[in-house]
Amino acid sequence: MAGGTRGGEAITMVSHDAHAHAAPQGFIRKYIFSLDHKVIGIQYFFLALVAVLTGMFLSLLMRIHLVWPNAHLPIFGDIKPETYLSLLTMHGTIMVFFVLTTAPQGGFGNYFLPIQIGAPDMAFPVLNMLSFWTTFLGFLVLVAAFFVTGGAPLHGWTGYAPLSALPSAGPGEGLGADLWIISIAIFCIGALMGALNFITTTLDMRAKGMTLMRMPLTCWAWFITAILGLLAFGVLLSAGILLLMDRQLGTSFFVPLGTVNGVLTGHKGGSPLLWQHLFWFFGHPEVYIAILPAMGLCSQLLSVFSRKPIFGYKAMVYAIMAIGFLGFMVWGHHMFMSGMSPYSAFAFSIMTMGIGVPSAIKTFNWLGTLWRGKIRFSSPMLFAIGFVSLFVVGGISGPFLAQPVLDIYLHETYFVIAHFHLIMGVASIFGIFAATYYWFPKMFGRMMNETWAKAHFWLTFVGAYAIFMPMHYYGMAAGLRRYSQGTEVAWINALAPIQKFISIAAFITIASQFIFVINLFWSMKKGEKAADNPWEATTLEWITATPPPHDNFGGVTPVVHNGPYEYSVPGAPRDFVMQTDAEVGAKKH
Amino acid sequence: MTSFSTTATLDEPAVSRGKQGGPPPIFGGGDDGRSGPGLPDYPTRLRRARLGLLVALTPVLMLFVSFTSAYVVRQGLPTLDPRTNQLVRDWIPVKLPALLLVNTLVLLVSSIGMELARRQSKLAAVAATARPAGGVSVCAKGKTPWLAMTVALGL
Ligand code: HEM
Ligand SMILES: [Cu+2]
Repeated sequence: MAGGTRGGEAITMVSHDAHAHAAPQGFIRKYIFSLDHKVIGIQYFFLALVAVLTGMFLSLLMRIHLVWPNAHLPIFGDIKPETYLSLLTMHGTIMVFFVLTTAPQGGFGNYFLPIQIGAPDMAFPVLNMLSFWTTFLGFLVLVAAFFVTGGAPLHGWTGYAPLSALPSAGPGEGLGADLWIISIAIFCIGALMGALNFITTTLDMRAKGMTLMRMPLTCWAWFITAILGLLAFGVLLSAGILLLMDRQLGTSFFVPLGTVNGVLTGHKGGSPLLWQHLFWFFGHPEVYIAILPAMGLCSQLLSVFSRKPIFGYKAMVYAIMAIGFLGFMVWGHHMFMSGMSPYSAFAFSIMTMGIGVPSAIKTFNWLGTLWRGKIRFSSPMLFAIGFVSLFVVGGISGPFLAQPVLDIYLHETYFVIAHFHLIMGVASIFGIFAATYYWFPKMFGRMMNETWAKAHFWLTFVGAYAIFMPMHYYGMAAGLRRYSQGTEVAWINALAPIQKFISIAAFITIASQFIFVINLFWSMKKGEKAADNPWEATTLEWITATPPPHDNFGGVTPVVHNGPYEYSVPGAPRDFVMQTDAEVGAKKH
Repeated sequence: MTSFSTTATLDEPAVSRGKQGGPPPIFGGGDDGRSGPGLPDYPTRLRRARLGLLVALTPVLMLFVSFTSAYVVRQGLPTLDPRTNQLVRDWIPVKLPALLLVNTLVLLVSSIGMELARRQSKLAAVAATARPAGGVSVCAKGKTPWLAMTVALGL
């Protein structure tokens, strides 16, 4: 219940007064089973916060174990190899699904998409509420896997068969794995309901004058992310159902003939690669689901804090679309090692490198936006710039991995871990931090402490690089991923100092996250009162009261006259023009 | 199956016959205090619901596409026979009983019938309100008993 009740506490500040229409009365309707997209957004946000702290704790245990394999850990006691694998599985699953998919889209998207397009709420409020509670249930089911006999599953966030398909394959692969699959299936249903709402809302509920090409890039990103989710989660759901059938009904979709501990499994004829195809057909779009909202947000912030229009708005929109589209054609790059035909590998490789093009377009546009801007280095901006940095560094390793010849060596090493943690993990988390620092004033009516925010930024920024850069070397030196210790293998043992360095960097970085958590809760109660538009930004959330009234605009429907990035417009009275201000000059947009 | 088709067909006329052919009652998202002037009107809600339904069909389609492709792929997979050490096909085609075909047909026809019945009753409702006003008789011609047929098929 942690997520729900915490969400409830936090919201007390969101809804003091000033509701144009009667807001729902009673604690439960208002804070728990609320239909208000703002409350639901905050609920998602706190669910993700609980999840990220859980996931971080698991990673801490893994980092301790990797350096001191014989240490006795709190709660988990001695770490056996399989305990390590279950830590790893739960860490990955919690982070990918319940943090990176939940906070940027479910949290901030829910709160700000309707406001930014000038709508009073999401298209289907009941569905919206259900999608949150479904996701919440999914989280409870997942965490429950720790407490059943056998413990949590071992098969990684990718759930590779046959390990994931055979209850006899190891501790944790019994009830724990069932719970894992059920949790993922529940999550899929919640995500699908959410995506349905986002798409309908964007298409049907924009305010007068808010043409598609006047939408802030955040809205574009949420919209395309929702489309990716709509297409991808159905596939994961069906893969999960088939996997459950293999486990419970004796079918053999993913299990070939074979034995576990000398005993025939009773399955034959299935293919583990079928699972991989289904999983990665979902899995690659999923990594973009995690990062697109952060891309949209950072585009927004770079413009706001450089006091300049975004460089190449249309190119940004088309790049998001291209990334979304290509994202469905490249899943095979996770399977170069599977013995696929060199021709398919070649096709997947070319497609994958093709994604580099729209990614590079975005990056250059970000730099173009910064170029000669009057940059204000506030905390949201620092995180946005940090995002660009991480995106470039994490993205550069992608084209290396995308070449089958190199990937055959680098696959299953820490090089891949470095790649995806920098680009998906840390970059998306930077997006979440930037969003929190940027929108906190609107959501909670107070500013976050800027000094601590900056300290948090520098510690996290330097820390993230200190953790993940050495992993590239560790991987290139053939340090393998998914192994709990390498003390008995000479060449891995020789790399132990790198692991030690990484672990120490991780301890410091993890500790500095509490600066953020404390700042968050402290600022809710004690922060400086926020003005309606503290960042002097142009989009619709800043024309309304802080925090926004129940119907977002207090009974009026905004009418939009301008694009979202009218900064430093010549001849305008201020250096920014709100989207609802009268049209400026003969500017074309 | 039975209850499905009957409830669906009974609901519709009840709605259209409702007070002066006005909008159907609100259910679902309408009751969070936003009722009254802020509530979108009936055509808006209808348009939104249609769009939503269309969007909702996409993941359903994806679900079936992936089930079907998994099925087809699995069908083509060879397996190793441990006795002969040779790759064999172990796929055993399931003999579908003829009843399945009949069932499918009944389902199909009754869902078409249901939709036709819905349209008919809607037309009748429009005709009922239009007649006293204009004085012109809007004759609902071709009174095929779709509703009766659907109910019969539903049994
Ligand atoms: C130009 C862009 C990119 C290219 C060419 C690229 C290429 C690749 C390749 C080839 C792999 C497979 C490596 C292996 O398993 O051997 C991989 C793994 C991965 N990539 Fe990327 N990538 C790119 C961008 C991204 C982005 C933007 C994200 C996320 C936001 C991302 C997230 C991941 C993840 C999560 C994995 C590993 C999954 C796992 O095995 O657990 N990548 N990438
Ligand atoms: Cu990928």
